[in-house]
Amino acid sequence: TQKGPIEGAITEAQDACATGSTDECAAAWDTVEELSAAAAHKRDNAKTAQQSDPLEQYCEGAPDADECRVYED
Amino acid sequence: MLVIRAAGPGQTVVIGLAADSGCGKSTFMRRVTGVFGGVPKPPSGGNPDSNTLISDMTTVICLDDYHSLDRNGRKVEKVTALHPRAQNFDLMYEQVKALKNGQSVQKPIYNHVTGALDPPEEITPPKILIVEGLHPFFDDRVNDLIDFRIYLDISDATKFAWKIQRDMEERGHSLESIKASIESRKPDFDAYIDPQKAKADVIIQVLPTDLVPDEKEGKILRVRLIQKEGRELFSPSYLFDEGSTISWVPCGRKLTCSFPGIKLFYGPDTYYGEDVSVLEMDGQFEKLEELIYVESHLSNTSTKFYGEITQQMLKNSNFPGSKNGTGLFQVITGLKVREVYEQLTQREVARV
Repeated sequence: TQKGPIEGAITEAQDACATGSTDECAAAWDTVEELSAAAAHKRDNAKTAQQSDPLEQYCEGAPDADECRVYED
Repeated sequence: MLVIRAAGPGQTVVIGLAADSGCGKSTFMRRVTGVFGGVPKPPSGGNPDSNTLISDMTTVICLDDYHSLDRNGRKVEKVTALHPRAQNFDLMYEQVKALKNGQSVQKPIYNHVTGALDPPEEITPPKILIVEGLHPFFDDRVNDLIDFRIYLDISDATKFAWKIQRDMEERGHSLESIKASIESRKPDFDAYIDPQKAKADVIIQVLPTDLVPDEKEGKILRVRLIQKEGRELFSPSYLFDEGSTISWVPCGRKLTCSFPGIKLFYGPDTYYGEDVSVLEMDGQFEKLEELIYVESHLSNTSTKFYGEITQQMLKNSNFPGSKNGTGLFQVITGLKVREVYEQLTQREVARV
């Protein structure tokens, strides 16, 4: 199976800490943190999009449809 | 000492938020901008990986965009993103200064997905510019441009619990990898990020609860709002009586709480040699009634009408932290931001 970017970065960090300097080790784990944060951010956004009302999603694209019209007064 | 600049009407007010990655900065930003109405959105039609969020009154820029080294560059140079050597503070200073003076800038974009520095995007001067990231107060030139400073301080225990929740499902991650990541970044964090909290006007400190022994999940939190005294632009919120030391359990005949209940604390303290007022909440709300009951006993919260804090919390009830002190103190901080803006510009923000 193909390794994901986070999996790859973790392996790289483990290697860097085993063989390299403390600085190398810290920089490698920092990359893991950055990738994990980006992935979590993406997941959250997908979840928000999924949870939003299907009618509202439809109305974004078709504000003139009968189901979507809102008159302020 | 604080120097008050003569900010004329129409000038940009700059707010700084410092916090580590994965500590809820984006939730904080949504709560603060929520006080000004409108939903902040990425710039339309631009780079899909832009970190900027724009609403009618506010523009939030992520200071990662001022990385001088991209991901590969940091690997080669063997530095973390927490290290000052990986930031371009000269450009950060120039661009924040330009925006504050009403000039547009071409700001680089650090792409968190690819780890590369992408072509710049144009940022126009907003009414309120929020700079968030790892080093907003690190460079004195940038720090001096900021009108109000917020530091989000997450205890190691809570950070660990949050990252487990965030990362455990991710392929390849394990308890060991999460621990190793936090521990290897800690020396740089302690050297370059943490000391900035001494410069903040408001610090939100998130600690494990004292109400439940050995709560390891990081779900029940003890949150402290540390507010500097003697600032010209804002004055601290307090509970019941300003300057006293008070411990308050609101649960009783008037309010039913389920386990583990809520405990509030208020009192004067010193923080890095400065006088502060500390407002603390441990535990979590179950129902809204609890929040309005607590709000009604807080003073100097900078609200415009009775129940505004509760209303703000209700509006964003699906955000993380809505049931505990993190959400409550983030909203109060947002109201303080509005007060700072109104004082500096002599303009009133309409209630939303």
